[in-house]
Amino acid sequence: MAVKSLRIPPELLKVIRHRAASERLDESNATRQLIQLGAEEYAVRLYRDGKATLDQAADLAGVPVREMLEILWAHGVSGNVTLRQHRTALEHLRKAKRSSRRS
Amino acid sequence: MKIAVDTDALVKLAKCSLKERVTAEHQLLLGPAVRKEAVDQGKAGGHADALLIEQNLEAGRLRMVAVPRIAKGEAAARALGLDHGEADTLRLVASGEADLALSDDRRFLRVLEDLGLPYATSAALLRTLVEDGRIERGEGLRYLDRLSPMISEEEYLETRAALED
Repeated sequence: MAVKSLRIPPELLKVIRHRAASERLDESNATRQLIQLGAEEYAVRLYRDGKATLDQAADLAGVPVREMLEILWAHGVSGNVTLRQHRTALEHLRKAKRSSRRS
Repeated sequence: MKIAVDTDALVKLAKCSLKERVTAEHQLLLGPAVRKEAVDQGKAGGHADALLIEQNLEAGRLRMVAVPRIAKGEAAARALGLDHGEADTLRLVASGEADLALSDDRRFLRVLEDLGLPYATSAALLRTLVEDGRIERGEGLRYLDRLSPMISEEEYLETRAALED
């Protein structure tokens, strides 16, 4: 595990202490848990906005790919395909179908 | 048609019970990394869809295939992470092993677009099955409702309008 020293503003320290008290953790563990929550949220946003693939989001969140799907759904991210991509997919399917009928 | 599926789309097809209808019409191929993500990770997480996918693999309705390494798309595959399912799916299409990729992942679809590789989404696939008369319209709408918590609002509304038309 890497060691990082950082300055924490009072409002974040309040959250860390709240987490530590409510979960009966020391402040280091509470900080790690909150960073993990933040990493998950960050990964969800990247996926939702089409800036990361599912695999990349799972890597960033530090969870298996299958678990990342559950996290996305729990965050209300039902999917991220655009209308243009849906229509392109239809074109690709129809073209592939025509080709497979010919061959 | 041979379709290389990624984990995202495979799990969604399994969860909404559309997988059997798709495999009756098309050959669904998956690479070893997709199997690991959908089956091994799914079973470890206690997800019932993982068992269904495993049963389909054992019954031959889904086919796991070796993934060839090819020049086209290799850099993109590396950028996606060599051990990952998306890279497997990309390679299967880039090598010509599959006719197109099936994924519901915007970023991954963009990578495929950049490489000029064809793709489908779960909702678009459902739409063509209805258009071809393989699935009756009412049944298609029921599948779409089951898919709806897992696809984008835009895709849902467009597909619903097309199926009701």
